[in-house]
Amino acid sequence: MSAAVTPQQPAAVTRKEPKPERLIDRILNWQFPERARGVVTWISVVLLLVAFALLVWGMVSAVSYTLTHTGPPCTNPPQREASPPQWVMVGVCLLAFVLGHLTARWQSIDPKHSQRHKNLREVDHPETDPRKREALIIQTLLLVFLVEVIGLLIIEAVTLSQNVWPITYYVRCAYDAAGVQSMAAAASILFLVGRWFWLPDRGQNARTRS
Amino acid sequence: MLEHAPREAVGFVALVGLSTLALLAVSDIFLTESKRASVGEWVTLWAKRYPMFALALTLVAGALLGHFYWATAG
Repeated sequence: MSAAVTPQQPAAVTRKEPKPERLIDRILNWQFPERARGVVTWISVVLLLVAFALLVWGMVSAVSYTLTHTGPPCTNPPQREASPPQWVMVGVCLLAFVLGHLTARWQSIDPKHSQRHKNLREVDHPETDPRKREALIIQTLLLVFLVEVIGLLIIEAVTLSQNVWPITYYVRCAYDAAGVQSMAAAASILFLVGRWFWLPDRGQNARTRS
Repeated sequence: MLEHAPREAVGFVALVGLSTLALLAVSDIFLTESKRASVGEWVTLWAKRYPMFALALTLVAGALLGHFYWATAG
C-alpha cells in the first residue's frame, strides 16, 4: 500500500533518485571511439567472409563425400563423443554467438538507412512506397525458408517411418567423422545467428552513426 | 539398428541448410559494407510488424532445432 504524499513533505523526498547504471548496461552501452567505428565494420566483414568460407567448405565436403562414397564416414550409430569434446564445441559456439552479437551491435549504420524504417505508419500512398520492393524481398526469403522447412520435415518424417537415419544422425556423424571441421561450421552458424537474432533496439543500447 | 540415410537426403540437407546460410552471409556482407540496416534489423522490424506470425515461426524453428540438434536418445 503506497503512502499518500502530503503537502508538508519536501519535494526531494517524493522525487525518485536516478538508478545507478548497471554493469551490463555500461558494457552494452560502451561506444567505440569515432576512429574505431570503421574498424568494427571491417572486422564484421572479415568475420562474415570467414564464416561464409567455412560454411562453403563444410557443404562441399559433405556433398562431395556423399557423391563419392556409398557408406557414411562414421560408425552406425554415430558416436556421441568424439574429438574435440562436446564442452569445447559448446564453448566455441557460445563464443561465436556472443562475437556475432557484439560485431552487429558495434558496427555503424548510416542514419539515412535506419531512418527510412522508422516512418512506417506515415506513408500516405502505400502503392508508391519505395520500401515495397524491400518488403517483397523479405516475403520471398520467408517463403523460401518455409519451403525448405517443409522439405526437411518431409525427409525427417519419411526416413523415420522407414527406420532410416534421422537428420540428427547426420549432424552426429559429421561430428564423429570430422570434429574440428564440424565445430568450425557450427561456430559459423552461431556467429550468424548471434548477428541476426540477438539485436538490440536501435536507439536504446546500440548506436547509429550520428 | 537404423539403416544409413540415402545419399539424396544427406545431399539435400547439406545443400539446403548450408547454402541458405552462406547466401544470407553474403547479403550480410553487402549490407554491412554499405552501412545499411543489417539482416538482424530486418528481422526485428518484421517481427515487430507481425508479432504473432513471428512467434509462430520462432516456435517452429525452435522445435526443429531442438529436434535436429538436441536428441539425447540412441
